Amino acid sequence: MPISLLHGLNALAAALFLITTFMFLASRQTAASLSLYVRQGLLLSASALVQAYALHSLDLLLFAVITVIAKAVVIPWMLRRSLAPSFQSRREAELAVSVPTSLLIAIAVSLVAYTIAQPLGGTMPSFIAVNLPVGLAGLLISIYALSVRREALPQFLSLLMLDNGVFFAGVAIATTSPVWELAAALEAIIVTVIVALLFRAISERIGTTHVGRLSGLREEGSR
Amino acid sequence: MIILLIPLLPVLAALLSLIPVRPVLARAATLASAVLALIAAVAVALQVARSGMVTTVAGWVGSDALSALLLMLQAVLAVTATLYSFGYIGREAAEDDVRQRTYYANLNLFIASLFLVPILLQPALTWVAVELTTLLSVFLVGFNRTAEGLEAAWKYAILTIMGATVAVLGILLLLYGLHSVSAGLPQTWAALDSAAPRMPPDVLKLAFILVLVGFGTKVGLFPLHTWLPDAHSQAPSPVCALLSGVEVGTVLYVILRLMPVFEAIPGFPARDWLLAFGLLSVGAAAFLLLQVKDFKRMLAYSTVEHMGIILTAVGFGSAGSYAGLYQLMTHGLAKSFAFYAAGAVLLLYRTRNIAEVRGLIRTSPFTATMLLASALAIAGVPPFAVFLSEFSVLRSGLLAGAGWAVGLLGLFIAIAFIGVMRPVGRMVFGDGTSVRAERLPRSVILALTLSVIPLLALGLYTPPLLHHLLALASSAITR
Repeated sequence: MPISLLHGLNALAAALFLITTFMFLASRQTAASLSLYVRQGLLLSASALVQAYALHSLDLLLFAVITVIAKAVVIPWMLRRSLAPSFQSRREAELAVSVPTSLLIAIAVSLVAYTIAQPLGGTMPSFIAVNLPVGLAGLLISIYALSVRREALPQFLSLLMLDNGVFFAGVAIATTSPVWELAAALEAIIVTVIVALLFRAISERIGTTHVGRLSGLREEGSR
Repeated sequence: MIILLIPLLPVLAALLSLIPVRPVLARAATLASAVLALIAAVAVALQVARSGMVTTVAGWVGSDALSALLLMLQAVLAVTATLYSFGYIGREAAEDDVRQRTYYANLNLFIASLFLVPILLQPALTWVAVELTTLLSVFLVGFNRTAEGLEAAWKYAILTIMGATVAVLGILLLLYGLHSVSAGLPQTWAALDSAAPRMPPDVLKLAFILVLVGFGTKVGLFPLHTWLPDAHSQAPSPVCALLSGVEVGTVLYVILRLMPVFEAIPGFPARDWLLAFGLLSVGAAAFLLLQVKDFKRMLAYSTVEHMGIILTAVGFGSAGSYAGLYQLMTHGLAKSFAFYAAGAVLLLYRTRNIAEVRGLIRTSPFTATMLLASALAIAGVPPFAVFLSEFSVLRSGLLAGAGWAVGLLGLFIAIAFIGVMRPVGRMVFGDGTSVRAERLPRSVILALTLSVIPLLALGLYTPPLLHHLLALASSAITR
């Protein structure tokens, strides 16, 4: 396969990745958000696969396989299994900022990401010129999504999207050992286990996971 | 080989804690592992003082002076927090053996993850260890299972995992920079240091921002500190002591460890950024301290203040690095002591509200004395060790010619002094009805007494070993 085609395929994955991030920001139903997360994981894996082929890197191939297993199979399965009621509900999550405003902010944030990544792209091979700005945009938009979501599970899904953004940039720059990639993928699974346990404890104890409404921890609220 | 024992001992103790017998086994195992880890940490420190660097597994596990200092602090706090837990958790979870055993197992795993951070020689693995410290302490923060405790645990988990995820991109960029210098270099701290001047400056700059913001969130730097007062006030007091006394410092260690790398960026004032972030945190925390109503939150804000002081000090340059590391050690000792004292008040009064605690000196003279002493210690009053370290921070600033920064820092420290001493003064001496004095558990009294000794001793005398290690460590975080 010619290298220009591989670059084209990677750019396609990156464009779809960025679009999924925007769709995530606009989606208000938990089940839809989770399926966007799965799609994004697949795109991350696709980008890693293309680069593995282009660079003949076994590490990246391994990373692509681990990513599919962790992010498209294990994590969604665990979340759906342990938090089923939250995913069956078709209720729309409460957001602090309206969706159109958020999308405008996300566009501005993407431009910032490209500006930051620009000076780095020049001296580097072009997988980096594509993946770094898109990954950075994913990182910044996910942090924004996290800060405007007021319920526990959407916040956690934003955190998982943040992880995807980081690794989308990461696959292009990291030429590291498989130990580290395995640790990173396992880490996402462990994070999910712990957060799911905590989430259940909160809903059992308090009856709501609307963290925006949990306001026990204020200066005046101490007992 | 002795270094490997340090994190392995608490893992072993965690396994023993899970054996379904009476919790006395869990307690004994935890204490034994903490004491042995302390002995091992001191042995490592002595070895480092002689040879400068101890490597157990080349490229993987080892310790220099900076790591050894942190290990000793962690181990000291592990011992006192374990002792304190005997009485505290014994009373909080009396009659519930399973809950007590789970507590000790979790505590040991958390301590093991803390020990791992300074001894790993590869930044990527250190990052994994930092992430483990969060994951293994989430359920300790929410141990009380109250609505507030779980809410605090949630904020703690989400925000600090977010921070760590941002930081990981910084670490990946550093490894990329290393790779771009030469593909065959080992991915260790030492290789990063030596290759930094040849790395692309733009890569390093972006890495610096991501690392400072990412790990800064977990250190509790302003304006990313919002989770810290919640988590550090809602956790059981011995856990608070570890979180505030040593966990934030352990994460700060990673930022400090990377300073020589970022200083290599041509024309980039990395230290001035630390100075600015540090002063901002000290200032914000000082004013936030003036309005607290909950005495454990007060101590948490004081942690934000002290992290700011350390960062400011390192921003002052090489003399400041010595003072900043000294402050890291003394703050750990003082803050854990303060949380033990606050926990004792909580055991007696069953409230964290400052306004509801009055006349402590009549209710329990021992607790009152300890609370007052700990407040004086964290406020930086002689003869406690924090006074010496804060004094050397200010002096290093003057030597570095940053008079304005020293002036601001001094002002903020003075405001924080008022913010801590005024409420504590009222709690101890204020007029009010004394409560029915319940006796404090013996282990709580012992932990408090043991905590005050090093704080006083280091305030009067700096052992040559400590001075030597601090000097070695401060050169490790300066280019």
